[in-house]
Amino acid sequence: MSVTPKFKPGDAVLVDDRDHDGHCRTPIYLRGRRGRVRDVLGVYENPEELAYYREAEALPLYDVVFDWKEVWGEDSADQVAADIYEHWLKPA
Amino acid sequence: MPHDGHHHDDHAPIEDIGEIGQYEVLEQAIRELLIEKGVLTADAIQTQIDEMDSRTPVAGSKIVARAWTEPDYRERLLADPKAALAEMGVSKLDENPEVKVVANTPDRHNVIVCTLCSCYPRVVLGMPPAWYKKRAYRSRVVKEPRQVLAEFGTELPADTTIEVHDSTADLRYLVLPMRPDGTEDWSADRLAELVSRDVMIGVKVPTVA
Repeated sequence: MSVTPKFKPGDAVLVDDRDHDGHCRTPIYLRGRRGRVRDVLGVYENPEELAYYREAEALPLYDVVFDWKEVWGEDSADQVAADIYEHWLKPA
Repeated sequence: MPHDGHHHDDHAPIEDIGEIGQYEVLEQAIRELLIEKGVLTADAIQTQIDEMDSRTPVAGSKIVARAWTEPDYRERLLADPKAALAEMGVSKLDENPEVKVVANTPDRHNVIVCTLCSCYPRVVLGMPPAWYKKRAYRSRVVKEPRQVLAEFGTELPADTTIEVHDSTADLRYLVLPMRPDGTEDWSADRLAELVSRDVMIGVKVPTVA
């Protein structure tokens, strides 16, 4: 089964700001933040399901880069990059 | 038998292992059950522990040194790290998380963290240092990387962008540092000695004394 990524490098994305109980790989400090897709890293099974031995959906995984100001509200050229699964991302 | 009668320096007290936490109890119970039910053997568990312990940052150092001395290898390492690691004899790549290599440049310095737990490129660096797993490093490097790097003795130029990679998902990150000036005629073996674990995490940069 092939999964077509919804986003491509250069796309602006917003990390969904929702709560999640249990195992989750989207850090809280990046939820609700806007970033930019730099790379499509491949397709991986959803760790939120895999962690509980449940059937896990195959999801595109993205290398997303965030500006410092967006994450921490401070002026700086430094950046944070994180790998985010598609079901946490919305177009921004 | 007492030997020589010489004085032994006091060594650090052996860590108190009298109390075990709930996760250790859980781990022991599950391990014993798996062995009892024939799913695993104690030998298989020990073999796996030995295999993890046998991995050291030396593998990473050799990979970086080769990337410094062979431009073609550097390109392969960045484009297809799995194949490039296999070329250097890194074993069991299919059983370990994928490694992605990020290259430092004069404008950009990479540093790796796992804010959620302790994800680490074990297949090339072995076990992570204790500080890598501590809350202080994990919470601070993503918020004040310049200060954290300074505490490791690393002062970057003000106009170098720091990129903090939070290893949040299925990939593990390895920093490809910049080759220091003054090493132009060095062999790969000699260069590898400059490449410490910490420079491949990105908290230090390699320097020539």
